[in-house]
Amino acid sequence: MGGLRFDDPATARASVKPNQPDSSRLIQAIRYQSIGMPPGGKLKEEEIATFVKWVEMGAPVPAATPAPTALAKAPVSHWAWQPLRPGAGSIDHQIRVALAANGLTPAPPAAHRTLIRRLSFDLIGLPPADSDFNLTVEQAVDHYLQSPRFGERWARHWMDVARYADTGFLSRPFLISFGYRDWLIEAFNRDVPYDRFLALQLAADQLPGAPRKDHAALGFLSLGQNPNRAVDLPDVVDDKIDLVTRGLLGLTVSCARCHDHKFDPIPTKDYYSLYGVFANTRYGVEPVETGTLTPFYAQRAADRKRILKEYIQERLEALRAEFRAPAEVRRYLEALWDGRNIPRARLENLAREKNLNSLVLARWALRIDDSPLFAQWRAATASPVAAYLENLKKPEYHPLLHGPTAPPEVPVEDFPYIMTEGDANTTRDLQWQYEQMLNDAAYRAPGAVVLGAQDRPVLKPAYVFNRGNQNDLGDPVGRCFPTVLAKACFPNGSGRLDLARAITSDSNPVAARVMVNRVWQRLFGEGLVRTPSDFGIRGDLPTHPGLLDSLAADFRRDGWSVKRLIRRIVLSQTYRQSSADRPEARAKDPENKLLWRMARRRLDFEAMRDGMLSVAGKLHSAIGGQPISIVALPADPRRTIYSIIERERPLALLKTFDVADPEQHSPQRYQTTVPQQGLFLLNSPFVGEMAQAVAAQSKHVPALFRRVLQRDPAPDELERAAIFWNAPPPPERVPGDSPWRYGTAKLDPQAGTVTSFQPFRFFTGTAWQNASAGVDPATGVARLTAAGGAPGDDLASAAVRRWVAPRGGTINIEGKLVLSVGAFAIRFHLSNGIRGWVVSSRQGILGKWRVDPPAPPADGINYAANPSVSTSLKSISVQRGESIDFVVDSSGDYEADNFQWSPVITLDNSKWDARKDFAGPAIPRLTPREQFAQVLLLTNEFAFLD
Amino acid sequence: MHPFNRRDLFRKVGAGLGFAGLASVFEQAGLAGPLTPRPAHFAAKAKRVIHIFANGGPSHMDTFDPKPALQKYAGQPLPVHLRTERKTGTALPSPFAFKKYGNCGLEISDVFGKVAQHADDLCVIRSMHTEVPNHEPSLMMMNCGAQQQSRPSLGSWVVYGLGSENQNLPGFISLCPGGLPIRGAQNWKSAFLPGAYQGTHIDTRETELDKLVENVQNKLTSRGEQQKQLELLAAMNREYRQTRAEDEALEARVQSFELAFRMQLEAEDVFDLSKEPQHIRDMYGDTLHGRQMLMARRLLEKGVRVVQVWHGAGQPWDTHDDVAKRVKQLGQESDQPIAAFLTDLKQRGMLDSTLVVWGGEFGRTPVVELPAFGSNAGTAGRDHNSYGFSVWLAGGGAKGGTAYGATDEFGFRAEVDRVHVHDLHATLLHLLGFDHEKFTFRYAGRDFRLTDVHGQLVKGVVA
Repeated sequence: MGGLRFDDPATARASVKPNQPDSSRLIQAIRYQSIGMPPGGKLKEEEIATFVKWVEMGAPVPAATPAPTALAKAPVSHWAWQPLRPGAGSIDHQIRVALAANGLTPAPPAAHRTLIRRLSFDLIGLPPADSDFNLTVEQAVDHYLQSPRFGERWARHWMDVARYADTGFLSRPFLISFGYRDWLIEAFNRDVPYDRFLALQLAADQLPGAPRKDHAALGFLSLGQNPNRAVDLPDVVDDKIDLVTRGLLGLTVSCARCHDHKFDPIPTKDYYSLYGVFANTRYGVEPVETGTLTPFYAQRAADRKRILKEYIQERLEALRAEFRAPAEVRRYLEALWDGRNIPRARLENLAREKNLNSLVLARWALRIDDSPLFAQWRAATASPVAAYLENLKKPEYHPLLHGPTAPPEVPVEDFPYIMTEGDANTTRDLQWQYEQMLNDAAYRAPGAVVLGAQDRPVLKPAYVFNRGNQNDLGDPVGRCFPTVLAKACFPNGSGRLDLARAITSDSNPVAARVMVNRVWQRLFGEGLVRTPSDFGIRGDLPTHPGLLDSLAADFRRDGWSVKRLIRRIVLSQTYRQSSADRPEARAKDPENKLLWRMARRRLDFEAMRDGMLSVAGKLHSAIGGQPISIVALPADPRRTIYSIIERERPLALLKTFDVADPEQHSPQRYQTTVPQQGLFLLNSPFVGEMAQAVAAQSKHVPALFRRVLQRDPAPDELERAAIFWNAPPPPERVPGDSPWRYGTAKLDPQAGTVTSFQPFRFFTGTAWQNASAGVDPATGVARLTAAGGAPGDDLASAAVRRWVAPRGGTINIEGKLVLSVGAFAIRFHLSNGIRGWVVSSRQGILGKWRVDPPAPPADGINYAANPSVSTSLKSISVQRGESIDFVVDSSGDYEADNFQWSPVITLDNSKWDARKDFAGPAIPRLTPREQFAQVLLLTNEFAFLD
Repeated sequence: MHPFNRRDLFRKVGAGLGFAGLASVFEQAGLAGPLTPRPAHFAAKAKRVIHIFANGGPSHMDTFDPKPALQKYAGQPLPVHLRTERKTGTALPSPFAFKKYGNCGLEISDVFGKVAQHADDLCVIRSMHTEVPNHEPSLMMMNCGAQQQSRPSLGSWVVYGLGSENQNLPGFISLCPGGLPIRGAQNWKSAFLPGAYQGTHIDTRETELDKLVENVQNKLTSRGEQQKQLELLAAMNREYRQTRAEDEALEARVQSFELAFRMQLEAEDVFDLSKEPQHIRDMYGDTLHGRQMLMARRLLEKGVRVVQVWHGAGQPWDTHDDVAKRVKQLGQESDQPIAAFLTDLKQRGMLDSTLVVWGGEFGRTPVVELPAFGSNAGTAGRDHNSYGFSVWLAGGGAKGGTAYGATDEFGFRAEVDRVHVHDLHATLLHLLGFDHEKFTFRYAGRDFRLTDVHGQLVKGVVA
């Protein structure tokens, strides 16, 4: 073939002269000017033009990579896609055989205490209780597997796989994200068989007999990328394809989005076969009711839904009318006449160029191609546009302007393709309003609703997008499984249930291999395959292929029981080995691939934080519920799995400690060591609080060692400790002398009293409130910030900024109460206003005001500034200790009631400015004993598992 | 394996801090951390980069791209009208005067009259274009080279490639006053690169040190007490390590505490602007943006590899309304600080080795935006424009005194020597010493690049 080979990069490269198509051998060949390639027949002119353009562009190529394996000869014989070939014998036998073959021997068993600590952190993610050391290994394993803490530990592992997040696009909360997290915890605790576990996550809505509460499992799909523009659909779908194929199958199918996979036998067609499945699914839009909403929330949710629907209908009508106007019709028809030779696949470009809506343009093009009313147009040789504008006035042409096939009559499901940016913002906000109501409901009555997913009412066929461009449709494709694994297509609906069944079918060895490898990785630090989400040709080979397969085979034979899989592994001698170094073994196998010892591992962030809470005696044991903040003060004592995960605003703390990035599926965590980790451990109020609690609960140094490190101190350690332990405590802790208090209380307008004042529990960094994140079941959204806040539901949970007079005298109060209501809340009447009160504990109500939202403006554009009222009061005499409460209540409905109110109080020459004085809790200095306790929490001994 | 010698590391992390008891620990430490400096593909002038992000989409025809033809069409439809995101109407001429500056005669508007004094150092690219006129995807494109898919930011790539000169400060710092820009930390994310390459956000409106950098201030103990704690910790860790001598991860963690301790001192120093002489502070101006640019210079000087400076939270340059007033104000806020920054770099001899980039995620339309609910009130503002916009480079091997490329007569669309964001990225990487096609990271079965499969070096902007 004249040395022109395209599977050899060197010659392929030489055949192209960048920017000079005419003198490039490649172009000569495909133009059949020289040798004539490809041999089967000349490419289409369009395809040739693409090559020419590419050469004109300078023939850019992706990063230098090893010679790609041509798809045609890609080895389907690759190990990962072969049936299971279990090795002979137990885990230990297979490990020993491989060790022996390399002249190595296994390590002796670890000490009992070491092993119990290892098991405890691995299985439940917490340090062992004292009594655990009295158990045998078998007893300990069973104890931990039965602990409800087990589900919390292993659900978090799965959340890495599932790129779990509580908030998505523009940092808005997902509809009841935590329902999915809680479902995972329960599923691991109940040991739901892995095949069913997957089926529920992919298709609970289609699985016969699946209880409604199991629809929460669909969070697996729904909690992904969620921008709301129609043009973003391909990315939303890509997120699912990547999740399912890398996460469950160890296949990097997303690499085939724009072209066939470079290394693995995954053609682009296979990518779009899955595209058809996930593009025909709607994610997390409609909640699934599993209980009863309170009438308040049921009504609210229904209202919000109605408002959204009405808005869309109103805008749809307006936009249809615009598209129907003769001047507009003329622009579309003229564009189509001018562009009559442009392939229909390029209409998007035409629309862009002519400043037209591409969907409407495509709808006109379709009629021009298929309607008998356009016969005259199709036969025309000169512009028929003027004639058609006349025609359109005639009754028989009516169907081109009105009715379902009329191009301007865009159907409601295509509204996203014609909406303006203002519409996009508004519909998104309305949808969020609706979801917010359901979230609020779920915070207060967990389990009433869960988020689901369902098929689109009308299934759309899928096409290959040429070069990944959704406007350039290629061949139609069915909804099918990646062909490298099986030739199976999915007849039912979107095909999600069929897909789930194909994944765990007896003939697919991959799903079991991938899962047992993930479990192994969590227990040993590294998988048997060290690229846990890429079992393809460029992934690592298994270190112990036979063992991987026997684990996979046993996993299936055991009814896909994850607990039994874990039990089998952790009871092996291989897992029980000591982690001690043996230089001669290390010289032969420095990466410990053959497992001549147990790997020493650093605790991940969750285990470290939970471990500190645990040894400090603070850990809260309730399972599930709304997300928490792990940076609020004082520490929220719930486990770290409940930390709010914000996809767009990842907490620096989580990033610092290498917690999985929620942007996409995470195969395994990095383990970096950076000084910011040290800063957190040395200086954070969290660690300080834990050190205080540890010290407070330890009578003497040995007790402290046992509490933190589960062992007694050595003599030299006792000596070092004594220096701290016996040092005199610092003279005083900083007393709080601020006269301000922040909380909620019950306001009785008749009696003029404020009773049951409850200080807020958490300081978020900017606000005092009762839940460390989100909404408190009792006091709702009530909170106070430096500048203002928000009231709770009703008079029983009014927001109260309290000032306690430090001495008697006459005070003046300056202030302005502002209702922070934007155009959106005004337009959709979301706020019913607020009331502000100044109440003295001695004198009763000193002032009261009401602030209502303004009416929407007549022009619909120029919204008034936020309404406000002056709340200044003069010459009020107060006694020392008397409290002056600045109370805001919701006037019966808490929605859209954010306010600003930061009064300034003067008394003689003293001044208290609510905004400037606003502060979080004081951070106490640690005593020497507490400093010592902190050091123990920071040791490598605490942070590592032997 | 380690691209520096042990003594070098010792000098960097261990010396002169009263850590006598720890010195031996450091001597053993020849560990390469994620920020250890390392060479680029080839020698380059730029050693560090600062990206001044005018977020929201600055109006090019009001700043760096004069369009006198708009006067002619004032209040009338333009002959060219591309599809805009929102409804737009007739031509809106710039309310600002343009003048020629420097020996090169670069035309710049009054909005940046002080930056314009550096015209001979500026390389204005007037033919930028990007994919879509929406903030979110275009921010992602400008920062991470992909509109929607999760990719590491430019800053993360650079720190991954070069490490950082100062191990006691983050390698990539994003300064943004008053909160976060749209899409928040996505703009400086490390995505699939390790978290150590993620940008660290600093809210420059804060003045207290511990609000600037999380946990950087020790409030739990005195410094002396903390030092004693660290000595005890080191002793305990040493003992623990005696039977685990081979494990480098243990040593790395020991080291990270020492680095953290030093970071406290370093941060205290670098963020304390009162250490600057009065005339320098006056030059920047005692304003939010003045302090922020001065802070940026101090960070760069201390060896931070990448600094991003955002104009403000949200999208301040998103001037849908009242260009005359708002663009003027935005210029008043940032012109003097940026000009002072350039002067300052030059007088310190840092400009040649510092690549300065100014720009937004896209430009704005030459036509006026019409009012609509949910977007704007329609008072002489401009809509988003992805077809054409300007960015400028200075220092770090960029060709000063240049206007590269051009938009059409009205500034609607880049026409001459078009530069896509991918091309800009390829060029920035080149100026930092990287061949963008070879600068890859293996993840999920692919070798990823900042420029994906795109990007061409723009030779015309390289000195």
